[in-house]
Amino acid sequence: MSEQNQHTIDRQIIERYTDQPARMPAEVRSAVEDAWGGRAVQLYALSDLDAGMRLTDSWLVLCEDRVGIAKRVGQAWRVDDFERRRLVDTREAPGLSRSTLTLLGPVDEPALLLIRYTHRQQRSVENVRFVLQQELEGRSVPSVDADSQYAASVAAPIREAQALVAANQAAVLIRLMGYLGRYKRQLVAGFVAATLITAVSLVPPFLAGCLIDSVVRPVQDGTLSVERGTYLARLAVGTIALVFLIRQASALVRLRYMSVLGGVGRARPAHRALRTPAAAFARLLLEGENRKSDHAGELGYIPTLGFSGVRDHRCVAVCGDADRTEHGALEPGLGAGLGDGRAGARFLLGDLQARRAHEPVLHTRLAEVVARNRRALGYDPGDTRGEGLQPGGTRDKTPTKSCCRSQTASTPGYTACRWSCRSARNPAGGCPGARPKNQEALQWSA
Amino acid sequence: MVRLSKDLERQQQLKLDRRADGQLWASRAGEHCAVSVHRCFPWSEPGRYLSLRDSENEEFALVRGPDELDPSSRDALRDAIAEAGFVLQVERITKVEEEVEIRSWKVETRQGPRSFQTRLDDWPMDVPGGGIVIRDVAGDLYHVAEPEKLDRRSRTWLWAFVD
Repeated sequence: MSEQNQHTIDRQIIERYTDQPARMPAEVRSAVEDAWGGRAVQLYALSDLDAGMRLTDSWLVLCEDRVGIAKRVGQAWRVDDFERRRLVDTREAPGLSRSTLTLLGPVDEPALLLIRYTHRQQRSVENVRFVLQQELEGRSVPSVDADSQYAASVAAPIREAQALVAANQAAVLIRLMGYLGRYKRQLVAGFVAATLITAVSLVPPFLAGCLIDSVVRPVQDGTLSVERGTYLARLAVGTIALVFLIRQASALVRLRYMSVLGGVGRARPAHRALRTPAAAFARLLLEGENRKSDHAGELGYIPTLGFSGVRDHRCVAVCGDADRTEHGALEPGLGAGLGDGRAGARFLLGDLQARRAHEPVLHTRLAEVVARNRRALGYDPGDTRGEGLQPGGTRDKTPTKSCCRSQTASTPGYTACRWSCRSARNPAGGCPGARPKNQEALQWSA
Repeated sequence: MVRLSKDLERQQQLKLDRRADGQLWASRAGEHCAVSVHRCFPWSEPGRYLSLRDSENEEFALVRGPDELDPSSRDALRDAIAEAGFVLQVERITKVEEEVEIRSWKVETRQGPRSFQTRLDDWPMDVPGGGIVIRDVAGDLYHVAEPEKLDRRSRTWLWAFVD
């Protein structure tokens, strides 16, 4: 797809789906260029929140030597700007639905510019920030078409959500093929079996032809003895029977390995981020709290880094799995099963804070928070280490003692509190499908 | 217990102020750092357990609650919390349409009219603090604080997408 076509599609997406301009309005551009003595606008972004957090249309604009913001004042546009060489640093402060970009001058002086914007403008603002940051680091960025960059940035989340209009349709196929990578052996065995089935399927008709032409007819003509003909006929029939057996065996191999790809096998490694449609909200909150942009979210993946709990069926495993994630990322970091209840999963995950190696796995108050949210607490009666916890029913709202308080990150072999999973699926406690090692889990069901 | 005491002691020394550059600055034991506020429990404990992080997203301090701080720091923190927790507040839903892979919403928010899109498999969610939250494809959150107080038409649109 040509760049022009792509730009046209992006503009159409913005016009159709959003209530913001598909490009900087002509009157804004002319006001900015007039204020800057005719210098062309190099790059721009929409700042759609004002200081009172109301939706508005202000434009962050960039030319070769100035940065400014164009704000509507009555029917006219006012441009507040400064010289790019005065810029000392840029600072972005992300929030749940709003970010702030501060352009800083010398220390202890007021900020040169402060703009607020929703996540929809994130990419276009980041483009501007990137150019400024590169300049601060002594690098230059080749000039680009400002309108195309802006349209592509704003339309990208919608375009990516609509896979059917993705720019590179082969990318979908390549991504799907990538999922087969870890099943190479099974895939090869399956393909060999399928090839064998096709190849041996050609043998019976060939033998039947030979039987008629080289055995039946010569015997009828008397040019071949009956005994010899009988021998050859039995040989052919035996070969056809053998072919049938080979086909059946190959079909078994093919079905065994290929029909269940992805449905069986080991747990997926953490570095292969798991697709988790059921936990979309948790992903969102984690991204917000971890200051990650939406890239992972757009692809439907959950970022595993910085995540203090690990999803395991209907439980959040907060010890064993988390440790594994930390030590080499060989085990699943986070993944919601298709059968997992959306309502139970989201907020506990969302509440778990990002954790670094030296921090406790769970916050010391998490037990109470969980209880307040009507998630049951309890302990595995078979485990003596659970004595510090009071057992809780599935609707127990009473905050119970948090064993986290008695453990800190500095405790040798620190493990977070140990709660059994008493889900409806497994009312007797214990996490279904959980690994047998000391598995600390929070109950999942609401 | 010893660790907890040390933590509390440290918190008592923490001071916050909004400086001329518009940023929130945290000071502790001679250390000064421009910080941003991250809520550890954005919905269930929005005003508590606040992680103050520097420009590298490293935690400078954890504030368990505003009452740990002196009055001026509390004021500075309150504004920062409001900014960090900003979400668009939906007051009316005017239209919801389903298209290829996305659902288009037209809403009136407290901040102004807005059109946004969600994925077909992203549904409105109940939040512990009350209300319903909708997340769009760009990552913006739309909070319906009191769904039962929406007008009848809005409720009709919304109830089709909630449990």
